[in-house]
Amino acid sequence: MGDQYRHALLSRPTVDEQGREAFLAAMRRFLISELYDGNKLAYERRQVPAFAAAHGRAPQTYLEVKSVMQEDPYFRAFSLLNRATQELLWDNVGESVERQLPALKRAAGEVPKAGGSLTLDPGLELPDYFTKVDIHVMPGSFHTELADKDDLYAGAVYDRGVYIYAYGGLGDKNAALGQGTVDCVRRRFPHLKPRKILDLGCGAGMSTLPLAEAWPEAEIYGVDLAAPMLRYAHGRSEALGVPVAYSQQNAAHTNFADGSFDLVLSNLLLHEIPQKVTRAVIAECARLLSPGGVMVHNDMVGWPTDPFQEFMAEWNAHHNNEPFERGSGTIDWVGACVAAGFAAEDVFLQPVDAAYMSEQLAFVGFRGAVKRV
Amino acid sequence: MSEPQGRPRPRKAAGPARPVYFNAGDVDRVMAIVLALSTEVAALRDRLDVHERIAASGAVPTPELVEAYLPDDAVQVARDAWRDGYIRRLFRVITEDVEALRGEQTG
Repeated sequence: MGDQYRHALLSRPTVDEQGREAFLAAMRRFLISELYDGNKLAYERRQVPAFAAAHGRAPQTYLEVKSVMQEDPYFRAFSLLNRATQELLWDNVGESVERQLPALKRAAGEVPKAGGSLTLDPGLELPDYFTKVDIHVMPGSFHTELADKDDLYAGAVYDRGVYIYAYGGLGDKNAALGQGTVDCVRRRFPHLKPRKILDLGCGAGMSTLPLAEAWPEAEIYGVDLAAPMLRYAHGRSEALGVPVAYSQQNAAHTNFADGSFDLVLSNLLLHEIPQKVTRAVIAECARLLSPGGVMVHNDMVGWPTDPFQEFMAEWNAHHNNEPFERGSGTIDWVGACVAAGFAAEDVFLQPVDAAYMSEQLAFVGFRGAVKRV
Repeated sequence: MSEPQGRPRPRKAAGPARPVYFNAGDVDRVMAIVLALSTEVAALRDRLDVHERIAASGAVPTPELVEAYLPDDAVQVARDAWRDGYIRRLFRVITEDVEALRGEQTG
């Protein structure tokens, strides 16, 4: 794992914290690139024959696959190590950031100004689906604050934690997802010159900044539910010299005027929200887009039907605290867009290979639509 | 060598089977503790590496010098290689299972 780019808000781990983080990153890589495939082998070589001996056929549903795999010693060991690594990752990064929180808050106040802004709404109601389950098993999730004032704990944990989780695979500024979305838009819509761009569920702004690099003339806006993520995103963006207008809003109903944006997008937002909220987000995108404007969401584009793959997808959703993944993967995308006012022929779905976990996250890619002129 | 004395001593007491104290979830806990401990060993090893490299430069590795030390690329590469070998040694009992399955597949 190479070094993460040291912007002013990045946590500065001690020698011991660095040692733990480096080990956990190496564990992540070991789990994903060396151990993961063994599950399929254990299934095909050990569990399918055992199931067939008892039933005269191979498992036909993911629940039948589950019934045998949860007894498999390899799968059990893999699952435990995967979960324990993830818990240790958040706990170690959390401890490091907690120790540095006062210094990080000071750093956020001292970064040279780049011209961006931060608008928080302390009265914003955080929905249950957002606060009841800490997604990715990250304690406190995105919204929990440690400090009474100017807290940015969750943002700092996420920036460092994601880098380790992907063992550096998202690049030294964790920008690969956002860059992938930029590349998708440029390839599909080479003539689009967006003047205003909105990033929904922008979090720490890691995927927001590549937008400014791609379209330097555009005004960039980011909304998110979580104040500590937005405070961090704002400080980080300013530290990196990129002006972004961040505001604390629900992506399903923002305060921007109709037709405000030429490009509205999200990265890994839709699988974190229930289907009905996704439908509201699509409708909000339709409202916010100018004629000819583009909506694109970088996320899941389907759900496996092969029993083993479906089992592994279910396993990931459960063990990674992702209650809405199945719903997000199985939503009728074209139907949902049409219901929101898009024309069916203006809707698109584009599966791609994942930026990391290559060939293991089979159902990721881009889903979007274009607003009729 | 000691002189043979006849039968080997008994090592299992007659009576009911050894009691089972742990439940399935306890094994999960033990493995999680092992992984946490493995993390600490790796961190300690990196810290020792800092000490050795400071000492090799002729300086005394004080806590301040240890915290201020920045590994260069060559040091990072060497540590990455050690860590990978360490992880493979730690989880050998798990990877040998899949190696056996792979052997069945190819053989």
